[in-house]
Amino acid sequence: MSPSAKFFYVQVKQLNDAGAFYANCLGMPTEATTLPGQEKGILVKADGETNIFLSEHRHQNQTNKIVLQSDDCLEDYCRLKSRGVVFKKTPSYLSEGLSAAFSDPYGNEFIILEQRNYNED
Amino acid sequence: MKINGMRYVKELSNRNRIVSESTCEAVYEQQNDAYTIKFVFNGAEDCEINKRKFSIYPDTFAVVNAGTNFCSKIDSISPVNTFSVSFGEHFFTDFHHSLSGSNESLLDGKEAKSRPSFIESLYPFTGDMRFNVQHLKNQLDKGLKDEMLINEYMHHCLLNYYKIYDREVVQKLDKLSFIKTKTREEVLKRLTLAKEYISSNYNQNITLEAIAEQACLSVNHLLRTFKEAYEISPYQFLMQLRLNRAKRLLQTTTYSLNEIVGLVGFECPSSFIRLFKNTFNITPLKYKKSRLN
Repeated sequence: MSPSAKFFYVQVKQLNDAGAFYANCLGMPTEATTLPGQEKGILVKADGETNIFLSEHRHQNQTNKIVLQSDDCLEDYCRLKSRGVVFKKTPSYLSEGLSAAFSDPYGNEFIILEQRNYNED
Repeated sequence: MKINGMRYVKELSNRNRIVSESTCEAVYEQQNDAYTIKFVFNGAEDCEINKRKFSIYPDTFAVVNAGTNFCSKIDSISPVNTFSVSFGEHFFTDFHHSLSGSNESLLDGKEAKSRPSFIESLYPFTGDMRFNVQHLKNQLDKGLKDEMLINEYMHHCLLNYYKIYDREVVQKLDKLSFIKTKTREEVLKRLTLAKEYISSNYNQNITLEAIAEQACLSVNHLLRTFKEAYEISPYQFLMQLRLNRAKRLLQTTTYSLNEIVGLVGFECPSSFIRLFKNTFNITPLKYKKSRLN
């Protein structure tokens, strides 16, 4: 695991359905895990640096907005779209690169960001 | 047609077409019925459009309108990698109409025309256009077959081009101080010829008179309008090109500094080193070393 790995808690309504969405629709590796307090959860390895704990309960350091780093935003966009993911924002240009956005079925927002260094030759 | 080297042609069901080739020697005379954007990833490709000759280098790309035929020639010791993207008629008109319908005014009054006509010349190959086309090329080199993804890249390629066109043509027209639109368009066309000539002959000993002659402008007129549109003089534009292309050669080749100085058209290494350091805040050799690390 990368030393700069980030961990987030993300709340979902139903763990099994959520696990299926993250694994099958988003194609992210998932594994069942136990969260503090013997709570059942699912660990999702969203990208090389982002790990998500899916949980049915509220956690203090919980988020509903996650930025996923991408090497090629258009490729990720097309791959996810063909798996049935509905995008809230199609790929568009920001000052830091190319970005697209979608939500999971529970309203958690994901932003795919391909950072581009426009100053490098 | 003579080919040696690697070549692939990707033709999609919507008539979008991509040709990639790596070759030392080739001559093409092409019937071109589609909007085509031509890129070069290393080396240079010599083109002729409407009896005008120019060269595409890796920092530029050329746009050819549907219906304009062109010739191109490659003659090089090391392989030249060309990459050409042509848009099927429906794909292009759908894109053009979708933009015409939006509020973005990237079209410069081209809304009414179903087949717009762009200035067929060289444009800077930088920014998002470079990122997207590089991704597309990498994917195709690896054997990408997914048409949806290829079309997505091509859609963005057009989107990027329209933005570049807006910046390089529409906004430049506004900077020219002539009252009549027709005059501004004509002068910008001629300035484009000047830039094209400088870019294609950057390593030669070119004179202001030769540039002015190519552009069908007097020297005074050229100097004044060039500065008005691009905010630099033709000489400064030439120096920027030479320095940037030298930078690229330092980065991508094993040529010695003296060889590069000659290749990009400088006569004296010391003035090149001074200019390079003043522009990029690093000496050429330190730059090369930093790129190797």
